[in-house]
Amino acid sequence: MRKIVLILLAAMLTLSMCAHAEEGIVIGISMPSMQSSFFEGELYMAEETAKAAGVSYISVVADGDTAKQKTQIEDLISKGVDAVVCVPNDTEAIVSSIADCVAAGIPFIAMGRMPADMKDVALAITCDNFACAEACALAMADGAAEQGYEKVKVIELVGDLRDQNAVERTEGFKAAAAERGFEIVAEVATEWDADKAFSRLTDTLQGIDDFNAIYVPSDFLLPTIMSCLQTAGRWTALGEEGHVIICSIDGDPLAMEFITSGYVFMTANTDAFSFGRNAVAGAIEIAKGNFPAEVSQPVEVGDLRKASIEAAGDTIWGNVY
Amino acid sequence: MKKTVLTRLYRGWTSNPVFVATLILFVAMTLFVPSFATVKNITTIAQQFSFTGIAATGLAFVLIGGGNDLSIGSNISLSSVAAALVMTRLMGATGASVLPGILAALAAGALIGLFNGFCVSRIGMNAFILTLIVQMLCDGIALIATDAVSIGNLPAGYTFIGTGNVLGIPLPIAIMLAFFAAGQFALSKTAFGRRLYAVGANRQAARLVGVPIEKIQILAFVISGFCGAAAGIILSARLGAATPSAGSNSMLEIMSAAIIGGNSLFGGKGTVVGAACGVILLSLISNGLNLLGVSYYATMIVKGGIILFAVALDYFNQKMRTRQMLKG
Repeated sequence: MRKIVLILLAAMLTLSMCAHAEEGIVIGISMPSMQSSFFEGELYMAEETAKAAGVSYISVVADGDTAKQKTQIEDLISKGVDAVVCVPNDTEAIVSSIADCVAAGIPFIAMGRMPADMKDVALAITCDNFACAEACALAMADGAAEQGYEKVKVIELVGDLRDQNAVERTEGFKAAAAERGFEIVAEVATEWDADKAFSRLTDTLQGIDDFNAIYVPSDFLLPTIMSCLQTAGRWTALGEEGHVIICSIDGDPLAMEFITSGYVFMTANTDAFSFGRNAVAGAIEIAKGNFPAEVSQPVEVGDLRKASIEAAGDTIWGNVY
Repeated sequence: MKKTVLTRLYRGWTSNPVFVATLILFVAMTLFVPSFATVKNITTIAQQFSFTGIAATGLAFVLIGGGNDLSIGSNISLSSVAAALVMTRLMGATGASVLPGILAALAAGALIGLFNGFCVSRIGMNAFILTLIVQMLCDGIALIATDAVSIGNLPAGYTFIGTGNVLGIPLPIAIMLAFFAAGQFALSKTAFGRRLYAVGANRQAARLVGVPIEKIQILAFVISGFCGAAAGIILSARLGAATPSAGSNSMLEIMSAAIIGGNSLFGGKGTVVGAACGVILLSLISNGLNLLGVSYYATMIVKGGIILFAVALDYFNQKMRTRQMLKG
């Protein structure tokens, strides 16, 4: 029985295979996971940009597994892609994959998260995390003033410190908070994992009730925030009693919804579509031999609050995706 | 003589369906996937599964002995972190730090195995629960020790293990083959191996004939821990960084490879060669689907389906064995 099933499986895979030779430029796109709308938005626009330019692409997702991402990039190299566009799962470990690409003569384009060693990166579409954190702090102060809070007492969520973005967002916020005299009443390590964020924030809220703001380093954590605050009876809109000033980063569709309904005050918009578009467009040019003058190309940061979301309409990715 | 050898080969191939499946897949991919059959791609695949292959070798010992080791993935992470910490934070990432780093990793892995073996065999804890707890402990220790940050800038002598060659063979592959050979030899040609099968097949009967059950089980877990540590060294050397959770995601793949390769969850059955074939089969499937541009979600379904079949078949095989024993 076992023999038959295993042989049948192998035969099924055999039949499903066919010669698949790519012609023209092929772009490899390596994503760390699809756990957030931001990554989905990046990948969506990366693929659309490739389609619009008439080039082929191969997308792979590492599911948060560093070893898998290395394997997938090696496979992309074996497949002979003309460039690799990558959001690293681990900014230290990706350096060895960059070396593999360089050895194979394939340019490496970093999107969003920057590798620990940038020397062999052909193009980097970057995010100014310090500007994002500063924008959040500024908005938090405005929100507190609107709500009538004398002092901002903030719970700070921290991302996965293997991600340089998370490191910069926490450093940036701490600096901006210190400048404005905020009190950081608790820090919650999320490791970019919604489940861990939920359990740890729940525990934190059981011990602390004197807070009036939450700093969220990525919008994908907003559903977790909502669940925790609902349990604590603090999920209220701006102007209502006990409202928590929530400021976040990314600008994803859920953040737009929460801001419009008054539960979240602001999000620092880092346009996911711009990341995907610029990375693939740059990769195509590099594949043709046109290297950029500036390796590092930052994406503009926007301050999105209720009024600006309504005014911006379809020009922001969170309203479109 | 020739007929006997050929007959034995034929029987070997047909009684081990994972060999047949792996062979069919390999031939099919060679014929139909243009970028597959290159020396570079095949050595790349082998390097990719080198760490899971070594870990699956160790896990085979535990499974054959009737146990289980869910901590092996976390062992990989913690051992690699131990090596990196010794090399970078204690000894400044110098060339002289490589050997102490490697020894630290192997010692950490063996100690984890010793702890597992002691708790399971001497105290009588359930292996599944115990190793699940140890998995959590290892993950926590690795994250605390590193502040949840990967440790890079490993010395060149260490990363050479993951990127270097010996006599033209990439080192991870050479090391993996050495583990396969040593593991299979230990299982098939030593008294320890025979006793391990006996313990796994029928613990009570093994005890009655004087097999030292506890010592055999402890040694199996120590081997698993040691192999996990070696896998951690290979992985971190390839990545050029020790990541506190790098191995944790591989546990299911390692377990699946061992089971697909014929190592029963119920003990008493299996080989290192089977585990090796299981690793190769899963890697070929991943590589093939990646090269064909199959979506990530579809790949998960295909691999999950194969693993489900393997586990279900193992269960049915065990039921049949039990029935035959009761009849006989």
